[in-house]
Amino acid sequence: MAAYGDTLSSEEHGPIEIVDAAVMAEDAGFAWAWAPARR
Amino acid sequence: MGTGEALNEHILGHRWPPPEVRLKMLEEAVHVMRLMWSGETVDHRGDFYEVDNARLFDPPTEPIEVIVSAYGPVAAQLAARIGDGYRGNSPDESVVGRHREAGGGGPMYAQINVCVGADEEKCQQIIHQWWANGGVPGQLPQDLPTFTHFEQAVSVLSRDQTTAEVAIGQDPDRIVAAVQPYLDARYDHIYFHQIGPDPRPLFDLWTSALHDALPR
Repeated sequence: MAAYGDTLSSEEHGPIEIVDAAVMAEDAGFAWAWAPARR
Repeated sequence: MGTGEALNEHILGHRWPPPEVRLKMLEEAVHVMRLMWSGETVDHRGDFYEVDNARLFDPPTEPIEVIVSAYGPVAAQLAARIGDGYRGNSPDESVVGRHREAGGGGPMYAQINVCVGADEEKCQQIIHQWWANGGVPGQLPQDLPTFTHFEQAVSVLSRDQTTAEVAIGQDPDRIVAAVQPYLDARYDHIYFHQIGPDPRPLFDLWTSALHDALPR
């Protein structure tokens, strides 16, 4: 069974925007987020 | 965890090792991490790292999963050996199959790049402006040391090249079609990267249609 998440892209957004995006992702119903520290 | 990128690591002033060396460094680093997480006092004399009488006094109370990123078959074999899960960027059987054949288990993660929006022309512009680096091929993204080099590399890419691998628009079926090859390759954790300044179009589509359209 697949689970779906959202990327919090620190390459495109600053810390305040990242937190806002995380809240929006949670409100939208995403169960988890991936915050890549690059590879 | 992965073998790193020169973009982040060149600032230390060290020589940027070739991939085969970085794979060995990654293996040793994961070994040291697991030693430290045991909460025991650690002495380690390795090929790349030394740890002298180090101890975590607040070690994790539950095991921490180490998800290992791998984009090629050799790295996929290493990910199977040292990781608790796998993170790839392709459903290509030559890579994920190698991970599976090497005994790799645990969750499999992949990112799907999208640019959700009503105006597809505008989406293409956004991708080309914000995520043209996604079109930089091969080993280059790992080896380019500065953002200036990335700007130079993407300057020769056309918009078709920078947008080719991105699901564009607001048709959920298009995103489902982008996800399906990853599910077929047994990825079980898919995360969406909305390219550009505004993350809300993805969340709106997710709520209105995408959540129900995706296979579970």
